[in-house]
Amino acid sequence: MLLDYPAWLRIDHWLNVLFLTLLLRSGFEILSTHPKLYWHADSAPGTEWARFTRKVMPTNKLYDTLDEEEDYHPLIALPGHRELGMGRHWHFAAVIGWILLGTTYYILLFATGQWHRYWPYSWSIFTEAWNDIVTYACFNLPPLLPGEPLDAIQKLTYAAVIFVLAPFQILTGAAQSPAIEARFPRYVRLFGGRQAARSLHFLGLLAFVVFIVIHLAMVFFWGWGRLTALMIFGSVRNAYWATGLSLLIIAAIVAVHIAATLWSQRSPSSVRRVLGALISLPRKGLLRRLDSRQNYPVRMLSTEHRVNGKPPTAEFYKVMAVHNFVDWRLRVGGLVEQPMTLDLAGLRALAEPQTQRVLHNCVQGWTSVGEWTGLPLGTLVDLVQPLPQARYICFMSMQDNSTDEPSAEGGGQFYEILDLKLAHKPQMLLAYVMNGQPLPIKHGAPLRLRAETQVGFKMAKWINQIEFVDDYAHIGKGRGGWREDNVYYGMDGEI
Amino acid sequence: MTSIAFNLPRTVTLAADAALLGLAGLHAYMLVAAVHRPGYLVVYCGVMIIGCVVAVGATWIDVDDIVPAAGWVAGAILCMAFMIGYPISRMVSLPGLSALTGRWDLAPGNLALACAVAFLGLYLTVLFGVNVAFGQRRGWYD
Repeated sequence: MLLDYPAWLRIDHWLNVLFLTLLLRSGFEILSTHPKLYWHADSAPGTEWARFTRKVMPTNKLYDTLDEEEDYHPLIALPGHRELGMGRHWHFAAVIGWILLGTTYYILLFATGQWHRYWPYSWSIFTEAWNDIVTYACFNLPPLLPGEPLDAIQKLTYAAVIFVLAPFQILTGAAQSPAIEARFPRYVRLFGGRQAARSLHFLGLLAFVVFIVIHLAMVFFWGWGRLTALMIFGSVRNAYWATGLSLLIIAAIVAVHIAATLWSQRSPSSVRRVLGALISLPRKGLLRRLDSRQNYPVRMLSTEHRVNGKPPTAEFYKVMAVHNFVDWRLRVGGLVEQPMTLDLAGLRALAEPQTQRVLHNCVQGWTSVGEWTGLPLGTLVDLVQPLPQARYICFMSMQDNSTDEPSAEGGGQFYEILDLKLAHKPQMLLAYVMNGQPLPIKHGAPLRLRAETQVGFKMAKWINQIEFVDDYAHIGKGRGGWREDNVYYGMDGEI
Repeated sequence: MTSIAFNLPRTVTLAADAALLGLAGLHAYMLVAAVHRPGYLVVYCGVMIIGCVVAVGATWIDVDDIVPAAGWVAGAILCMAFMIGYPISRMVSLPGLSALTGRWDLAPGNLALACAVAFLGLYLTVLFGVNVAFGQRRGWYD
């Protein structure tokens, strides 16, 4: 078997450079919105094992996780400057590209027999790999394995990166999807929990960075022209041309990064539209169908459940809160046959309350475990009887970001829109009780949504109005929610 | 406060100690593998091996702040001594070891150098507050 450098391998290599660097930069952007890493699922303040921020939160006033966000430079983050929505779009789009590329690579690797270049046939390869390390430590280059393009330590390293590290990153990434966690809680526990998966995903990212640094050093020491000739022409020839072309390819990859950054900074809505169309395929095709099956034990309830978003500061809300929300009313209307106006007692009386102990997934990356009690959303939907043309549910909040959330990226009343098809999924809840107590103000009193297969921002808090609509193009900026309008998140929150 | 900070006192101490034990191990290897063993080389290697082992032990004695800190300082002194002494030993012809003069391609020496650099690097991160060592605590509440 001739272990050479066929055209598909060379093309895959350079495309891999593109996707991997896009993944690294967008990964740092995602990290910047909650630049702290934990091992425990409750992300308890102060328990992080790593932090990448100078910010110290106040102890004498309420802060939320929006205040903890960091602003990373575009040199390391795509697009940089606190653009989580853009970072997520680039990360997920690049993941799709990377997985497709990896799949073609695996198929061709095994179909053409090139997998032999990575397969360790004998235990003696570990002794040879150690000898190679010693040779490198002597500032010499070790011999290549007979009839193979790599030395022993290179062979083992590439095998580890291709068959262990890359799948590991995909698996730990998938373990951070709320829909996958909700449907397969045991899968997430394989990694030690949601935050452990996030931490491991970050360590995998670091491993890739270390690999890239050593890989580049190796190419340099073995001969940049010679090795890039292999990866461009498929054989050692025209070293000067290979050097020039390799630099040109790298420049093209850098140009793609610059273009992606500028496009995201100047026209985030079009990035959202284009990349969102690509991302929605696996999101709706694979993740939408997953149902939440969570039932965390009581001992896992978070002592301090984190929160994103500050409560309404309007006078009417404060007055209602003082009177335990007896004056609060929920208006349910729009495209329904039976519009309703309910007070808290009326809402509670609609049906037997349902309780669920679940993991809350904030879009920023932190999680907490809470117990929520309330009315199944499907029950309310059945009672109001949506008209045939109703396709979405709009949850209106009493929070006004113009006045209530100084850390927010925009103003106006908070709202979120859910696909009506989600309403009857398990553990879709209008919650009025948290951990056995009336819903606290900071968690959305008197009523909030729980949608356990979705990221947290979809679960509107401080709800006072629910509208059934046929389209959301004319609500807000027409993107399906306040966060979608202002931070350019995708409308579907399964990942 | 640094923009990058870790709260991994045991991991950091273990990693630093592994580097220090690597330095000790490579000196032991040198002692065993050397064809000519001048007396001063035996004494030097003995001091380095014992010093490294004692320093490693001290980093885990959490009776007060002083003992673990002394372990780190001792480790740093040994590493610095090696990092200064090693290049000199290559440049100057030492009695009984003249064959080593000018030889930079010896794996044990370069690996020992890597261990010393690793320990000192970790110690610097502890001094600058990026890391904490065993016995120290982070006062994070957020």
